[in-house]
Amino acid sequence: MKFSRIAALAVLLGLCLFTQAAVAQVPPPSMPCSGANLVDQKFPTAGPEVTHWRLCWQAVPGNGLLIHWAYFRKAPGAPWLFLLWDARVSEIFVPYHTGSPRFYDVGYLFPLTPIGAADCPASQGGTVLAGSVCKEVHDRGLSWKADSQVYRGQEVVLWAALAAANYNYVIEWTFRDDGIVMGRVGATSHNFPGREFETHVHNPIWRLDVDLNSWPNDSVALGTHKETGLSATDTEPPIPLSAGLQWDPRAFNTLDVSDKFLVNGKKDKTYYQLIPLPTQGLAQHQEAFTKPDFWVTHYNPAQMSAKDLVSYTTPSVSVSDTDVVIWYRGSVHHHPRDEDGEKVGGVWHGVALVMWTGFMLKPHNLFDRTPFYP
Amino acid sequence: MKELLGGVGARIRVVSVLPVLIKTESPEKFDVKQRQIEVVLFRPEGEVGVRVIVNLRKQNVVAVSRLTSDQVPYTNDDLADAFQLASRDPEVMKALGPEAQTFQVRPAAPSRTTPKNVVEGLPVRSSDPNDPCSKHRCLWLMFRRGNEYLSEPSVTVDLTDKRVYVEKPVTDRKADH
Repeated sequence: MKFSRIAALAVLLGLCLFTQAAVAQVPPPSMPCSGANLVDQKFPTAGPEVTHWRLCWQAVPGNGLLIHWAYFRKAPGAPWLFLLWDARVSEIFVPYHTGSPRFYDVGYLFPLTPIGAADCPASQGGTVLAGSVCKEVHDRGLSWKADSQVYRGQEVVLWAALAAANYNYVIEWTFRDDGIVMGRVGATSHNFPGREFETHVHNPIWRLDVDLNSWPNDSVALGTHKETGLSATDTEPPIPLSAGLQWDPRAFNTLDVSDKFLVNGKKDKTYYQLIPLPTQGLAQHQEAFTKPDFWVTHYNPAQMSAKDLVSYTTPSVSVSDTDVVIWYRGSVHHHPRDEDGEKVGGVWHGVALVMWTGFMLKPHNLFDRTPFYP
Repeated sequence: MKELLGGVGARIRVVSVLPVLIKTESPEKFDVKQRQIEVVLFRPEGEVGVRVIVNLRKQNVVAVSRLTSDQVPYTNDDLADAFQLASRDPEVMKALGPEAQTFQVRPAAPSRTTPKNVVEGLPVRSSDPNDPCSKHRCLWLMFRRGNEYLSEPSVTVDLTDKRVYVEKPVTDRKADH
């Protein structure tokens, strides 16, 4: 009896060592950052690893909080998948309803606001990085549920606030245990002095240099749903040339980025879908760069400015099997309300509560099966 | 670069200095330890900007490109210029009242304490071709007393033409509907 227990323990130990050896097969990739700028997060946070993010962040005056290089590993023995070269808020365009002013809030090299424990409490999984960036690692709610079976997901969130004069812009990047990346901008602080009741729109435009499975060899397709009578079809027509495109919510449009060689274990083509997450709607203004909601351009390190997108796509160039950059514009329609503050003795007193807009980058056929399912 | 920014004696501003990563043609050739920086320079006279990529390891200039005035970000130097112009405007000084002389440009370095009286600026660009700010470098100034902003004065400074425009505040909230 005693012998068989010892034998069983020995077998168990052997299995553990074998598993450890298998896990150690894929060393972490070299990164262009270190120290507080390197985020290395496994999920779940407790117990054996299932998935893993490894990424760099950088605080840049004007653009705020950038993500440089993001790798995702879908299983301990799987290779690290390169996903992002650079992700940033390229511009925040803010036109007021009377036609003027029309602000370009990223056009000034505004700094990030300093933050402390009140912004980023440890009780919520928060850690203050370099005095201006909050890293939160926490539960993200239900990941899946099937009757009595349930799994709650987790995520690592990085955020910082850009001190753009009367506004603070909360720039947030979320990396979830299931491989999803989310980007959001929240507008808050003070309404425009002297025009506190004038409606306006904050349009953050993200520049996302997605390099799926590294670069080049990436292409982009427009995920499109179409209803015909009682039936419906889903297609992914390729976007062959650099261009601006409009998002049709009824067509469930997505920008699908794929790599010529990347498939999952079932040999299904892997792609990442850019899915808009508007809070209320998407604006279009007089300025040509605000007419499309999506843009696809060829990588050019000098092309960082959303307001110049028309010139970046004129003339159009091929964006098939190459190094692509995708852009997305969200909108926050701010119709002032009494909850934004009040005038006391001729002075505006109070602050505008945070209003968000954002997007999701969602993997499609990256995993071979439901992640985290037993 | 000298050609673009002018010769000796030209007043040149350093707008930004940032580490950058620039891709090589293939990932295999990319050196993760590359030390390259991007420097943006601006000559206010003539409003010419230059973007320079410098390889610190090789100590050479990798690329130089010209920037138009609207491609050069605004800094506290522009804000200081704008505030100096605004300070000469009697209408602005009258609106700021007896405390007018106490206002100063908001410090570029972030701080957890807000100075008492500061001026801040936001880049503004018009889409009306008749508005000089459709082509010029313009900053909208905001005046802040502690944590509150003053409703008046509303000031736009055309840095290119060195002109100051003061606007009456909008007080009727129904005007928006």
